Amino acid sequence: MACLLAPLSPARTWIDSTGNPINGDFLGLNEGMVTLRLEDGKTTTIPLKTLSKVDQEFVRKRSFQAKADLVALAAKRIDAAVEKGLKEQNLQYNGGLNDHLFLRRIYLDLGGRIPSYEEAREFLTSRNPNKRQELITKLLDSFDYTSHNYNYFAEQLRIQSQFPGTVLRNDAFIDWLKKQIQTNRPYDELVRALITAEGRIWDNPAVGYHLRDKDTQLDHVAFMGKVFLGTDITCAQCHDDPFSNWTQYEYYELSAYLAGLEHQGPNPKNKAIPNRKQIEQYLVEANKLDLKKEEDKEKLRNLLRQFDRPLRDMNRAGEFVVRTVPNRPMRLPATYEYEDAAPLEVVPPRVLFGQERGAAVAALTSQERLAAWLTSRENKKFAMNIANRMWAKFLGRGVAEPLYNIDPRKAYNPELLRVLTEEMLVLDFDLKAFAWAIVNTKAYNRLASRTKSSEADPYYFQGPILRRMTAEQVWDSMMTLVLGDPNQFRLESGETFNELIDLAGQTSSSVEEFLARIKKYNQFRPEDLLVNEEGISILNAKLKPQETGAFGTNLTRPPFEKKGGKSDQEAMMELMNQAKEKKILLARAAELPQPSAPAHFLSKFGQSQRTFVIRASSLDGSVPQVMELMNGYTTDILTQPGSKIFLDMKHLRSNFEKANVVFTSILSRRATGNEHYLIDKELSSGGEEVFADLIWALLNTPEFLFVK
Amino acid sequence: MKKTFHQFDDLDRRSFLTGTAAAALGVTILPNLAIGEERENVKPAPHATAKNVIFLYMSGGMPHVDTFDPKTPSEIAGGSSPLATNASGVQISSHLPQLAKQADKFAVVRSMTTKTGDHAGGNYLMHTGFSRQPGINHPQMGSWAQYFLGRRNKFIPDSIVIGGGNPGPGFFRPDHSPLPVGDPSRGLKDLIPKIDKKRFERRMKYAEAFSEAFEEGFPHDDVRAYADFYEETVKLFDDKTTELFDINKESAEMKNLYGNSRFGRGLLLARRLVENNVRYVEVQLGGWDGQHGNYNAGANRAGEMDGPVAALLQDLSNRGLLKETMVVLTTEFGRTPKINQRGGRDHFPKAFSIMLAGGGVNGGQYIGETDERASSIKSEGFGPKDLHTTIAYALGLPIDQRVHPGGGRPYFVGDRGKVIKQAFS
Repeated sequence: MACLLAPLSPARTWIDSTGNPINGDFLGLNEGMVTLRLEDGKTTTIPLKTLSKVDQEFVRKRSFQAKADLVALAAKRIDAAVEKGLKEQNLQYNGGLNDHLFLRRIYLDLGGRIPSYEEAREFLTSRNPNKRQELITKLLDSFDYTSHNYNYFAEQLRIQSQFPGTVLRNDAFIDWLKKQIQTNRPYDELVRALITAEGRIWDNPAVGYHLRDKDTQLDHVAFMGKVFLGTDITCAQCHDDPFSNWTQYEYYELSAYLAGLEHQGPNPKNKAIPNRKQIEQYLVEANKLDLKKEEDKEKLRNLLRQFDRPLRDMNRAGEFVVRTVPNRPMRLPATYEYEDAAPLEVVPPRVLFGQERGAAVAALTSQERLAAWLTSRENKKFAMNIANRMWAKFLGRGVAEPLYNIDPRKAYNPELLRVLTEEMLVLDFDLKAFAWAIVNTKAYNRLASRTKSSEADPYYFQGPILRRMTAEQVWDSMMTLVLGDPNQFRLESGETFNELIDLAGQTSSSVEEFLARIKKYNQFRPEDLLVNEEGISILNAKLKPQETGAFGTNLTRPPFEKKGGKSDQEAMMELMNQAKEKKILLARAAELPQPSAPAHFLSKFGQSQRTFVIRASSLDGSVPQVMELMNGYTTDILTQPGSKIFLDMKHLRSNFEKANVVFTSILSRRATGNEHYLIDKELSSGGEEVFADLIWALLNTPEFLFVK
Repeated sequence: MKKTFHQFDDLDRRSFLTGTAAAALGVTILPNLAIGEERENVKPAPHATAKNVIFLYMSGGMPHVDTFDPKTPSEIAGGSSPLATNASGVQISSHLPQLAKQADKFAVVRSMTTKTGDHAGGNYLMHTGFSRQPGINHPQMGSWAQYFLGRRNKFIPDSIVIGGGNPGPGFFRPDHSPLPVGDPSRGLKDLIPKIDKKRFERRMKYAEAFSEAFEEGFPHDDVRAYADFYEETVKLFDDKTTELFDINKESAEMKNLYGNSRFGRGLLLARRLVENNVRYVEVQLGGWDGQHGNYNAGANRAGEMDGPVAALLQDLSNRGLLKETMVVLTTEFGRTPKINQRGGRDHFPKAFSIMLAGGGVNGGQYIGETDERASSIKSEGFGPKDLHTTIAYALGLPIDQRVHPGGGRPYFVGDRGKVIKQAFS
């Protein structure tokens, strides 16, 4: 296979001070130094000042760090708007956050997981007065941020690992989206890229957005309205909507922009794919078959059978292309029953509200026109939608609800919604900068509200809503507990599969070469796409031994210490092998098959099935969930002596310190005096078993599942 | 977490808690909140005739000729011949001698037809009433019933699938999932923690103690709901509940009646569960696909099916449960009537048979028929969605009510099929 984790889309070209080009993806700006990921996967840093003017401008747009002043101002303005609302209601902020509550919340909200034991200790023991701010910027820059935010967008875009009803895998789009998040592509640009995407998925991965709704183009438009505009026009697809103002005609007007969109191309009849006859001939010769003999005929039939599926798949792969059929009109349905137009009448494209920008649209394609109107700065609903969604992501509740159909007049605090929308524009749709502003607001840095307020009740943001972790946050936290570093295995860019199935660009291939490809294709397992840094599949790789923390050596244990003949790594590997036997992939949710199977941990905790966007995921409890926490594989592994928590405790003499390891690992805090007292009492009667029981118990507390 | 272990004597609990703050000692037990439903439940429609459903799925394609639609021409019959039953005018295959004695209790529908001839597609269609639609999961009937009628039991799931994988809740909330039970002889054993009971109790005791401070600090509905689910789960592990799932508690006579096969034990468990207020139970009998090259394979399966299903009908009837329990026996499609060159039967969606009994179904009749070669239907045909609409109708579910999962396009239970009215007359 070609180079691992290689980007499918070409990297940006930068010009350094000597005028030399450098190809690489922007990763971040830190103290005047720009970090790039080069095409070979290595990173390099270059002083910002030495880059060209164009490059500097690009960095300023992508770098949240460059907007520190604007972010501070935004947080202040948001505070003022929240406080105005609180004052009007005679309410006060909830109490503040101590270090361990802040730590846990910020890891979950920016990184999508709890901190590992080492990370928690590093933060909790640090005396740096600026440690909260430093942690925030570190997390905004982390892979964890990408992973967490990928889950967030994947739910809205209903991303599935395999395109429904096709042989086509979606890895290229998944990888592309992660990269847009990692390189902090402004949100408006991102949405434009999705809507205007054309081509084959291996050339332009963004077409994954349109391909998702290959066979349901009209639904696609309704999803677009809910996700990007906070406007629900679903009902108008079939009839005028009496509850809002959308008519069926308007639905078709908006849909008309995408009327020319075609999700399938003609079969390219690739010459590199030998036909059946050639394969037959080859097989007869290679196996010295005599077709006059009945048994040899049967043999040939059996041999040929294994080529049927791959031949069909490879032939079809070239068909999956998003393209425009010019001048294809949108027509009303045959069942159209209103008087303003006749059934099957042609509907010209028109925007839902506001207007397109006059003459400038003439040169644009229909999709470009739609994207330009949708994401324009004048279209306040676009900025308002994403600002409101981001606020809801961190505070647990939008300023206007429901998120998919917002009416600014019905916002709990209209002033706050206005300010959030303005700041989204001021920050140029930089979602990292916007997140940075939100986590610096006073409302965010308060305890969650103690009691439930239902969605129908107004809420004024005394602090966040008490939230259960999302399915992905619970799973990723479990992975952190099991592995320490949950990011060891990542889904590669889809090259492996693409190379097997996509023969475009190849003009000829000997039958022999082709058969070798087919063999590989038949052996392909999706799990092979989950690879570690060296490109080794999760099914074959060894897990990294536990990293030692960045602390004094007297407290950390050497990584390969042998005890009773078994090293720590061996002990862990034994547990990992059990996972393999049970076909459980120890990687983050964003790297796993999507959506997860009904029996998977993630499904039980309410991961979206990636079918709908409204209430697609669930934070409700259920019996299977509880069973998973009680008897599931991850709980099982964590309560065994080879688990990371036990290894972390091994060197500690006192039960006091051991208990603190358990508490810090699972709840990101040390045990309280009372809790120590309880544990001591239990330990006086039991041995190591008590620690396993303690681990089990903490995983089964609400403090583990809820973000308070 | 709620005080689940009332069996701990108070002293034990108290001594465990003495370390916690004084306030923690006096904490009142939270009232038992019902599990929140998103919607108001409806009452079953007045025409409802069934309270429970036992859904028997013959996985792989059951040959109609070898079971409920026997024919005489030799190139079709295979080893099967028509056999008179205890219902006048109704003949079934000679492979089903035990069921022949129970024919007064069931109706055979011989004019089933579908366009779906592949296993996965047919299986999905027959389990949901819906054709597979890319990117969406439709719920099964037990989940629909729970959605409309509400949860029937607080501690036992309303629908249980025995030996049929884990279907999930479809587009309903996770708590609408059927509970999968793998091996009927083991019941809930595979779900129960693999640690000894004492230790499990100790763990729960710790979890309760370490939950208290949080629960006090956040008297929040969502936190309480979790406490409820813990209580529910622990009850499921409780001896009383595991007993409901334990067919070893049945008499030797009963076990004999149902026979020693996995399928037979599954049916016995199904009866036991329905008797204990479970609404929907599915039991699968696999292995119907091994007949491409040998029609006898179908006959063998028919033999596996015959005794246990007959036992179930007889047993339900003896207990007075058949009146309120609809038994449905179905499959993804039929098998070619004509024996193929390899001496077997291939997929045949065009015409096949199913069986309905109890829950308002009038037994001793057949509905619809095929031509003499069993290869096309001669009367009004029924498809999988008609079967589902019929079951929903019998349960009194509102088959005309739209459900908008995720606020999107509407779905109906049974996908707006037609009720097989003849079954009830």
